[in-house]
Amino acid sequence: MRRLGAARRVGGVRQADAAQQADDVRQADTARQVGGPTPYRSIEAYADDLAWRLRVGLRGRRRIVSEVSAHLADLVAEEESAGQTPQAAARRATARFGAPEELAGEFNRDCALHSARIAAWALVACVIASVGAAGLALRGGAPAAPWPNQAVYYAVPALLAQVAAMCAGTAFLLAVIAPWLLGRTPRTLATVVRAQTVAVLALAPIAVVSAGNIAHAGWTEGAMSALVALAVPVAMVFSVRAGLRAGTVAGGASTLDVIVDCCAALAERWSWSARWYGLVTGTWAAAVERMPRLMSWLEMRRHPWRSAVTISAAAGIVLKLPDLVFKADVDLPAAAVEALAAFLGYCLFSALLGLRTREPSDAVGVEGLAVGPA
Amino acid sequence: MSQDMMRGHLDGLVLAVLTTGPSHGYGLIDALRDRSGGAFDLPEGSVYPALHRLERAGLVASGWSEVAGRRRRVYSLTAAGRRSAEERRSEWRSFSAAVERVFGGGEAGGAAVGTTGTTGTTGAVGAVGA
Repeated sequence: MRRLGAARRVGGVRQADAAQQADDVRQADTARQVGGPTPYRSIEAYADDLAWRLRVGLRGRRRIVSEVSAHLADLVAEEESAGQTPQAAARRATARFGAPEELAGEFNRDCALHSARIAAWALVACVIASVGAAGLALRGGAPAAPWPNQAVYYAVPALLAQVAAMCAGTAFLLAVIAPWLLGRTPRTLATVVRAQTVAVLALAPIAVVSAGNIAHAGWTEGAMSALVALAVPVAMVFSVRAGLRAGTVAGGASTLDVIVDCCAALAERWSWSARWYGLVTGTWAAAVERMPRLMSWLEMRRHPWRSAVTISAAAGIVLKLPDLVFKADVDLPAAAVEALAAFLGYCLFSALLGLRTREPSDAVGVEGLAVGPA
Repeated sequence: MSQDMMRGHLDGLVLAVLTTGPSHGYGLIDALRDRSGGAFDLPEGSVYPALHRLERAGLVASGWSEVAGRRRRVYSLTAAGRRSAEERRSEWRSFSAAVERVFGGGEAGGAAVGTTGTTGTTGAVGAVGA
């Protein structure tokens, strides 16, 4: 009988818990529907909900939850001393504290940005090491019989290091340089994560080739190859972590707008940069006034494809200009190949890197803030 | 005051409050509310992302300690944080003075139009202000 009674009591408690939980869920749903704060019956319920939403790593989550719980305990004590019942005090305290989804969202965004910054530094270091290793190989540091073969050994770093440099450079600009220059973080986390993903994919084969040639190469080239083989997986881990923390971030500011803002911010820093900025913008404005049609070929935001063709052709000529000047060698097919490669690079990566947006040049949104129309 | 406007300046405000001495989150939001005369009434949790951001930037340092029998994380300014607070303060002063001049100029322009019938730029500002 006693057991039966205990079982009934336990069953009754479970039923009461279930009823309370269902009541909590109903209240939370109702609150969400009317746009009000979600009521919580206890600090623990709030802390659990917050912890479940945080993507900041185990240690960070533990710290945030402890801090938030301590603050909520203070608020509950304050509400109770004002005459509230414990449950009402908890409800009022959690409402005063703010919605856990908003709080977690802000923490997640900051943490993702921090991770993206670390990954950007790591990727830039990898690109520099890769270019250095490729340079050493071209200057006679290559092994006698490179692995897997001569063509792959030279072609993989030469081609993929350019892609990695472009993507890692964009990520570095958006995640490190722009926040430093602008004093705020542009809303470009999605672009940063995409750029870092492509940079990692481009660096991975370089790391494999480097790892395969550590033993065969000389001391300097071998050390450089070992550095690349070790650094790329580390950068990969940082990039994956940044990607996971960023989650499903979509859209964001255009990279072109960020570049424009950075140029303006740079101009305000020093007098010499202000002079250069004034000279360039003045020349551009004068050229647009005199030759509007011709200059429209360079307006990347208005006519992305036209400007891509023009800039690619210019790049092809500029890249072969040293040969023309120093060796008097007019290599037109090589210049055409360079121009084609530049245009192909634009076709493949411009949308991914936020370089092909036709948005007007209004204010760059700040990460976490609604600036201008969303 | 709009919460978005407030959030845009939260980091600077937190630094400003911490210049008076170390504080924990609860004390900080209390000081913020008191010093603003109740104008800054943000959700209390919003101060924590700002504190963590500032700590990551090396402007603030923190550590656990017992305050009034409770374990709390206390934040204090670093030397860089003190410098940053000072810079932000002077930036804000020059910015707010400029804004004040613009708003004040509108009213003055309006008054000028009303009293002396001045035309031109001042008149135009007065018309916009009106």
